[in-house]
Amino acid sequence: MRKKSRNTKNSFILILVISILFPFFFNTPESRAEKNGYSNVLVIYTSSDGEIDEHQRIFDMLISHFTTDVKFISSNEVEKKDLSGVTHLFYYGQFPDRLPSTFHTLLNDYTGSILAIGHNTKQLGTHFDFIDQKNEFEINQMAFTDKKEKRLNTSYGKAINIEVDKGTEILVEGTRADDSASYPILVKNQNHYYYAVDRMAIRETIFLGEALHQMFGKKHMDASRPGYIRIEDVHPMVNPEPLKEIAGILKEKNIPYMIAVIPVYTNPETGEEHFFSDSPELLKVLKQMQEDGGSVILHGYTHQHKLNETGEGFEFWDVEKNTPIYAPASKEFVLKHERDFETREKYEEYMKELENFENEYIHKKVKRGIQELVNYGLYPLAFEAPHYTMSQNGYKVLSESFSTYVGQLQLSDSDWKIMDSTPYITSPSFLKGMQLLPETMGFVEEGNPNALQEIQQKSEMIQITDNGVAGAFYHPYLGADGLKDVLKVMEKIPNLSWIDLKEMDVWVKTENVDIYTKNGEVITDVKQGALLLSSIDFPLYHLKEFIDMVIWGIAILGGLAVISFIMFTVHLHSRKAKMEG
Amino acid sequence: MANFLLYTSLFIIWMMLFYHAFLMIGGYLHSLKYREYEKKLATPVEDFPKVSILIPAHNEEVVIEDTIQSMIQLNYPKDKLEVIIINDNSSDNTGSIIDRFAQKYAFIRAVHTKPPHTGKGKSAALNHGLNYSSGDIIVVYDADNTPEPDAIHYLALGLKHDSKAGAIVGKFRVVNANKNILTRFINIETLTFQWLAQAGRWFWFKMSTIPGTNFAIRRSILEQLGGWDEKALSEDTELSIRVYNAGYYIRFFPAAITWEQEPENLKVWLRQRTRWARGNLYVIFKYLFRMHKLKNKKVLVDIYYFLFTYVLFFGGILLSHSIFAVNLVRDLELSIGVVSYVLLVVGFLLFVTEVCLALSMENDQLTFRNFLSVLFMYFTYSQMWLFLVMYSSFLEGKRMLFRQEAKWYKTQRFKQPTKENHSA
Repeated sequence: MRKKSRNTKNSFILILVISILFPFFFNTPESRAEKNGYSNVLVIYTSSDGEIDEHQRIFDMLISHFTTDVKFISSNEVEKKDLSGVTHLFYYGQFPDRLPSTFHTLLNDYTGSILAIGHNTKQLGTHFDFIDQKNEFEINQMAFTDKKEKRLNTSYGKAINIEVDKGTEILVEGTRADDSASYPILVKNQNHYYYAVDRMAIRETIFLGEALHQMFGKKHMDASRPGYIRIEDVHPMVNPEPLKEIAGILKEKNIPYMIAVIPVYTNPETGEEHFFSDSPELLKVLKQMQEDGGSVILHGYTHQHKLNETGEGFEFWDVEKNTPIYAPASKEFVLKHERDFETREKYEEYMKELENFENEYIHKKVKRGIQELVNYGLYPLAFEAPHYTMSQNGYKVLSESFSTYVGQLQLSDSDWKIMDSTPYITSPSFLKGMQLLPETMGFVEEGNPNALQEIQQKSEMIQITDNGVAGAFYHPYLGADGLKDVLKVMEKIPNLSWIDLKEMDVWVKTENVDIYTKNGEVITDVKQGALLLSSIDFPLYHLKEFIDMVIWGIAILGGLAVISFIMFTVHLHSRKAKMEG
Repeated sequence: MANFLLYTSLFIIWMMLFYHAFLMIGGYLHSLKYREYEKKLATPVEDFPKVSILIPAHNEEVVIEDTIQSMIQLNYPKDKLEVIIINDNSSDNTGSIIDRFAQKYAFIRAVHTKPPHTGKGKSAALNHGLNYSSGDIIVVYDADNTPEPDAIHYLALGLKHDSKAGAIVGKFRVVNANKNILTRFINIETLTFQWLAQAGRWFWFKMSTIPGTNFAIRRSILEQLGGWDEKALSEDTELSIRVYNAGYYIRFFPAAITWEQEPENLKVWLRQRTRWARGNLYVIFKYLFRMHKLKNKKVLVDIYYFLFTYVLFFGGILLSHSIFAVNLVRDLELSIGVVSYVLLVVGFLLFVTEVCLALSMENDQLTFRNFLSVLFMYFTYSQMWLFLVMYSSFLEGKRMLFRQEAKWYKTQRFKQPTKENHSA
């Protein structure tokens, strides 16, 4: 009996140990593989001019959620050796084109999983023989075949009409407004995937993203959805009262949040600049917010370039010329084209100069922005470009100072309007190491009666994904009630887990300032002396703070003296009355 | 820049306000304490010191008779007392009135100044009178003063019992306090000055200033110092500093009381106060640049006090007034915010409570009417001082620049009702 009971006990312990260790055995190879760059992604693309443009970048945003080991190579340049070690191969045929003859055999030896988007699949060897591409045709809506009720309108209203062999699984199907038939859009045959669109926006990436989870074997089990609310455009002239109320609501609900702070307000009529040092009340509120659960993010330095109002203007994009900022605001600037130069070298030299100006411009503003906030005791943890406008070069400059970017991304240097979001937290290669916390749900637009409805729609859209980010923002001048409405929408999202930048692994650095997070705490490493010496405004602010404190001290001491004198007078009076009595 | 100036002026103003509050606390404590010294002097004494009272009089026919009457009423052995009235260049009946009393009373002596010693101002008259005196203790009264009977007793014995005191200063009260709003203000002002500045400084620093009347000084010291400075417009302040420099202090003893009359109209007030202010400016600049020669460094407390009051405090107020005025017309982008209003209110309350505390140290002075006067005074009388100091600085600056000789304006007297009601 005794022996048996010991055996039972032993096997119980063994089971316990195994069950504790099991998840480690199970998880370790994959996570280690991930850390070792095991998911080695190659994207071969066919674009209009062989260069990467917004189409590739939107795919970059999506794919970089799964791995940061992503290489983009044009179909004109790809060679056999580029395929070595690749675990996941992508072909994005954005244009119908004749691929180099090497493609007949290029992918013959490749046995890993492969996904093709758009055109030219017939030229990829025999990999995609299970589909037959026809012409482009109109498709109005898409849905997962197993969740047909979750439909989304297509972004461009078009898809490639395909026929698939038997044994091919249809993951996503498209429907047209004029008939009730459904058409395969995203299909899978063994480890081969095909997406029958040639242009993508966030909606298309939502469907593709879910397929990629399969492809990368990363189906999320916990199914918690990251989300955030960002309090937008907080500049020195913002009324602190509604902000305080908003902070109160978020604190009460225990919701961590972001505050997009602009250090300088520029009056568009007078050009006059206002700083947070001129708004001590607001600064107090912001510091309290930072204390309570808010994370400051730098939203530009002035949120304007030329003479625009802060919050309205574009700081890092010349909207008039639709170019990056290539010249001082005071200088009339006309961008020259390659044809204006005799040689390509001269043109490149010219562009290099412009880029250097832009680098300097962005670097200066970002440095000053971070330093100024730090001097006030506000510690930015991420960046958000005003109006989300930023050139590709700009992202590179930003990546020297920030680990984290919040919002949407401008995807082209030829037009600021080409910008988009992506469903997941990601580190696209063009952000040069920065992690993007995408904004996917928009904001309450003043005067738009359907604003909430639109947010609700976007909320439903993002809920199609397993772990897509539910990110929205809100302007505090609209008052606290509007925020409550937005929160109501967001709180309805199942398993929402609020992003707390302080809990994430983020860093911000510039001259004399190093900010990073560790175990949920914001650690600041500031060279105070050097920082104070770097601009007269910094010590002046502290001097003013000190003087304010002294002046209040004077007022209090004066008040105490007044009270004492009243007491002395009463004392003398009663003493006299006693003596006379 | 405007911000910098505003903060500077605020710091200066409040530094002075706190110094005054500190003095007021001293005054309050002294008001509780000085009676002990009074009791000590009440014990009968055998040998009263010989006292000479000097009263310079220049065209004082309106008031001199009352003054002499009060001298006759003094509770002090007449064989130890001489009253020397210096008739200085009077063109009215002053001389004959004095002569009349001098004939009747042995202890009253009439001295008439003669050229070249005539009409040279109060200091010269006092020096002249000093030559005719024989007392060990010299007491000075202005010609409009009516000391209470015990005043000389307290001054003389107060000095006798305190060997470290070179001089002793009594308290003066205003005869015509209820005459009009101006005399009411002056009454409030003089009571506050005495309890705050005189009693307060005495309590904390063992210092006070000779006020020009109702004080006693040792003859030995006067002789050692060479009498009064005839160039000084406020000979009393100047003498105070020299007394300290000689190693003595000046005791403030509120038990010795005199009553004097104050200007009843603005013109006389302005002329008298301009003389005081100019006199004080004279003293500041006489000693400021000879600081190293001062033996008793304690005097610096007073010199700095005057310097701060006349130059910085009024400068500060002037500055903050101007900033306020300019800011009404043009936005100076002042960043001070709401605390400036708090300071304005606290400053005003500090003034009111300090003055009320000083008034409460006298019987029947903290009346509702006086309280209202205090409120009103802040916005009127106090602001007039600002103009006065500017005007005096201008005159004194001009005098120093062109090396003019100071002219001593005698304060005009007013005939008072025969029956005095001293409880103003």
